[in-house]
Amino acid sequence: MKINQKDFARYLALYGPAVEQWPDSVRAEGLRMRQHPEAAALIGQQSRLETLLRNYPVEPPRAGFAERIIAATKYATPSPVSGFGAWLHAALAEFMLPRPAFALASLLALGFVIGLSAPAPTVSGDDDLSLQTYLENDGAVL
Amino acid sequence: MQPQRVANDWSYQEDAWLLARVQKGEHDAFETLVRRHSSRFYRVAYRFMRNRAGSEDIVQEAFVKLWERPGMWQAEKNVAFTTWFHRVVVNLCLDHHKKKRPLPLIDEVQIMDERQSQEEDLLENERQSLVARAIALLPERQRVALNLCFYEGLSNEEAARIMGVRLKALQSLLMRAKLALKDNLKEEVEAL
Repeated sequence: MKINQKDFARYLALYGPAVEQWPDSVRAEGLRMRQHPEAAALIGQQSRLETLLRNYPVEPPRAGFAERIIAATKYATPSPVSGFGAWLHAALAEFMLPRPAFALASLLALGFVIGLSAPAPTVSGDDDLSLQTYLENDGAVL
Repeated sequence: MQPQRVANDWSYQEDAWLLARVQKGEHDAFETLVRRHSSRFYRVAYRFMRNRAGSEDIVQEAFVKLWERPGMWQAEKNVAFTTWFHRVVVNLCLDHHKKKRPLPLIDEVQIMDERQSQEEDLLENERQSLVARAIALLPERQRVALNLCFYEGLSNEEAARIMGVRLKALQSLLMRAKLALKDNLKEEVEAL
């Protein structure tokens, strides 16, 4: 893929000034472009910008930050995790199952649930009554 | 490269295992998660909030939510804890900013190296303020992309997942953020 100077500037912004670490799809063209003096100037600018940006400091948290979070939750009661998915996950997590096994087990369990929850055919009291009425009304046929 | 990947995989598995224990109400597993990740998420929050107390509050709120409602994280969605928790923290920061508009611009950034001379201190302080201002002026989504990819070093793919956008959109946000910063900090870049 041929790239021009404008593309080069965009890739520079996206992937940074280390052209040799750009993705495969654009690296070769980037390295070719890098030979041009204009491109070299752009790389210099980008490097300086990134140095400047990295100088933006983060004030560290106060001492004991993690401990304060822990203390804030020490006496709070978590709401129970409900639902079949959560139960299944908790059960499988005991064994740290890899994802394919997790998926297979989930499907199997889901199959069981669907099978067990399907309504079984039954005869209701109304059906009996209808049959009785039929026999009484059309007893002549029988 | 390979050992890093293996370490990440292990960390991913271990986080999932800890979260399963958190979901059963085991506080020591929660403590391990907090000790392992609080500093990292504090940094993320700080780059949005730009003050220590606010950033600590955001991270604490996120962890308290996780403890009180551990069902928020769902392993079956195949998202690493850190990816998901980044989203939680970023959303809390954005919510906080929405409530508190307009954004205050930073005049002073207080962190300095004590060994530097006073003049260097002033110059460095000025530079840090300009960078902070330039970042604060970026549109929200560009700021999130810059924070996650440039400062946190996440891959573009992971940042896209956190932001809930396509990879191309994330790349576009990141590119526009850097081009805007280059433009807004032109003088400082030249002076370096």
